Amino acid sequence: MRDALARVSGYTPSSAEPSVWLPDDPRRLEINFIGRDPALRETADSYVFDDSKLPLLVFGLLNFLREGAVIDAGGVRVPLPRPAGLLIEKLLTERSGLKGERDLLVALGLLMTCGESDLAEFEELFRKLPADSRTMLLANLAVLSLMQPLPDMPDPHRGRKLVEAVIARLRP
Amino acid sequence: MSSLHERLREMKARAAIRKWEARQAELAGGVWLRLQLLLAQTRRALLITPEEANALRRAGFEPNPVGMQLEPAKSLFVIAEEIVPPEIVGSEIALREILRAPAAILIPFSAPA
Repeated sequence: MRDALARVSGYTPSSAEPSVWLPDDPRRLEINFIGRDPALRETADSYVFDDSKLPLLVFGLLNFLREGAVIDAGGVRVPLPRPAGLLIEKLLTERSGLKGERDLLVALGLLMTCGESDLAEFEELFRKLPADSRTMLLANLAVLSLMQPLPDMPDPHRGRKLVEAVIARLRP
Repeated sequence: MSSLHERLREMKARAAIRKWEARQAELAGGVWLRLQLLLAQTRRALLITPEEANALRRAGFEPNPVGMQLEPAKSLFVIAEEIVPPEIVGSEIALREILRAPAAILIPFSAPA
């Protein structure tokens, strides 16, 4: 990992958030590094990985992510996560304020693109969660259903029927 | 580095609170969750008068228990649009305004089971 990082040029770590690397060129995207530890399962397990080159947060919920389709981005093969696990992560991670709202709207965008097999996988993962996590996830779906729109994000008003159908599918 | 530790501390605190809330789901403290879920399955809501609420009761409709668990209690009738009695007119009310309504009809996306 350190070898790979040493080959990255044109980026410097943000002083406010050292796990975020900012580009010298505004046409490039920022890089947000996050850690994954296969031993973790939930938010309470998360920890800070202290490292002089790249300190980062290791999130327990990232273990729901499974490798999915690979896209080609300018010659770089980028593996995307499967939608079901990403949905679980987005709907259970407790972020605050605008970031939390945007996370829920990202979940809505994912739901809008999910096929039946993705939803079935999502339901299967949901049924394996502890009871309090299932309740938290349903609560966040309910909040998503009642949210006001944000600019440049999926419209929660348009997605209400879809969210209601997902809640009905998941509820006991 | 301290910003990461601070973020982690805040995230864990929020998660602990949400976990506590989740454990209240079936208890009095869970009424907000139950109300949110009820509203999530609601396509639109109609504000009705106390007289209209009484007329619905006489016609055999029962308010949803969630509304009765609030203080002050609210008569929230979940009724499919096609069976709302024609004499009940009501007026459209935004879901976010529902706590202002002493009585309302909640029209679900799909017919209640």
